[in-house]
Amino acid sequence: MNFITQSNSQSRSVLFENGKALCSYLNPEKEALAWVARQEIQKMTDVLILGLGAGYHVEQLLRQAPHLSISVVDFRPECFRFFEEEFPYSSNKVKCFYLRDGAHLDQRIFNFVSDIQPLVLPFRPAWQNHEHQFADLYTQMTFRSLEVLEKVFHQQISSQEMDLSKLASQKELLHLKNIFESTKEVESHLSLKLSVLRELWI
Amino acid sequence: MKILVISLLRLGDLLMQKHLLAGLLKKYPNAEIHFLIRSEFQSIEFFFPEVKKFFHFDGLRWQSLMQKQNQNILRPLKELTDLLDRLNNEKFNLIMNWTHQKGSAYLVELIDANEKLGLQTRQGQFFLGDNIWLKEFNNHFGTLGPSKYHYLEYLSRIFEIELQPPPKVLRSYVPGQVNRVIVQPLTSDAKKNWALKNFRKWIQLHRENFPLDLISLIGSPSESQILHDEFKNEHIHILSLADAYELLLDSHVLVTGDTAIKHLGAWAQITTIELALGSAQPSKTGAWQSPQYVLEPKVSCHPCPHTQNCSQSSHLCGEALSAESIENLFFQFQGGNKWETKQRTTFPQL
Repeated sequence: MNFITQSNSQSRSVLFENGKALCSYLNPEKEALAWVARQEIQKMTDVLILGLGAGYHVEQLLRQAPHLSISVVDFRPECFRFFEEEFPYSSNKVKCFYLRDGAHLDQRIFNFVSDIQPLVLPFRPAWQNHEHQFADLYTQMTFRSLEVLEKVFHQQISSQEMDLSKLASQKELLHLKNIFESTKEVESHLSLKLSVLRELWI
Repeated sequence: MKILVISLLRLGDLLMQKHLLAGLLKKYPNAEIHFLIRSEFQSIEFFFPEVKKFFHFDGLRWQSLMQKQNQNILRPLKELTDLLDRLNNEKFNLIMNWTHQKGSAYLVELIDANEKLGLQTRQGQFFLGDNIWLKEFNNHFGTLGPSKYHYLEYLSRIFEIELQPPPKVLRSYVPGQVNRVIVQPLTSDAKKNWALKNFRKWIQLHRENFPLDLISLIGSPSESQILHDEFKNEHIHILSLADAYELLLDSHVLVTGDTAIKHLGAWAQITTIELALGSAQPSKTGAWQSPQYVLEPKVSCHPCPHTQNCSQSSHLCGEALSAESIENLFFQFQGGNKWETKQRTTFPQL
């Protein structure tokens, strides 16, 4: 991968990967403002930003919502280096997860996502050149992937309570009700809890 | 002794259930009472000094989380588990399920206690036990027909808690004097709303008949705009429930179709006139007050199911209620009838 940095007409540095800017070249701050405005930041506590890119959006979110616990995920070390140089204050305030294996949750980030269950905020301009990998990560980080759910149920919840083959038949795991439909006919705490939640969406 | 009361119904039901707390504390004089209520009703906790601790069931949030693609799919499950952990740390001696809904029955099974009363599941199966009142309630209360017993009378019998008779009206209408009349025109349920033009007509009529009366309209912050648009020349108070209660304590008559305000009016012991439209069923959940004033139009579709929108081409029950029928009640307070009431006005005997 070929990374370069260019300054725009406002003297803002923008990071490029294989010729594609990882944020707006003309006005990265305006783009970041618009992105933050679309989030319901008052209702958030823990967020995980998927895609660091040039980091203007992370800087802006931190500025507008200093109460937030912010984490950011990317698998390009050049992005983290750029972020530290351009926004040294923010880079110290944000928990950074560098995924060495590309679009694969390692144990460290799996544990983090599993324990904290943060709201995942995709920043798609930073996904340039890697849209499919980031989309896979998005699915995994929201636990809408069979592979991750299997891991959760094996590690945290008794797999005896689940019929994971039923989950496998789902093309996409879009809803908690898919999990409910996969609980076995046993009277378990998991089944009862899902029954409580099921009553909310009936 | 620690008792957990599960109360996950609507705000009006919660306010009604307060009538049982004196009896509960009489039965268990040294008990710590804990309540599990819906999170959105935290603002009413000031009204329950008898309750040691409130826990909050965040159903609306979990519903919302379940719809969000960027939220961890297991987040609602985690938050529910956290709530259950906190509840189980309390080590309750007794759980009473005053909710009688399926979700609450599952919760009863998930919370540890020596004794559990009310609807519950056992190994995932619904269980009523041999409580004949619970069975009677289960079989009949949810139907649309009239009920032999008020909701509170059922709960009193099911849980063997003494229920005090309905409190008497202390601040009733005094003819010929200045009376403060409070009107809450809007409810959270469109089919229970009487058209605002009808309220305007009645207010005008009332001013002609009883010019000394001070009429104030009240509403919640979400109702502010519509009230100010529709009642430009009226005194409008946008209030929290706590402030609404304070205002009611200083008033004489309340006119409303809103369930929660109706019960607050009864607690304030002022004359409470309920406009029982839509799904309202005063024989079951009318204000626990004596005397009880209810205007309940007799149209074939009333009461309608709570969970459905009005099924008629026009709002028949609202149209059947006239401004004159409300005004007639005020003439009755004065000791006479000016109009013959055309629609039936019911005064259920408690």
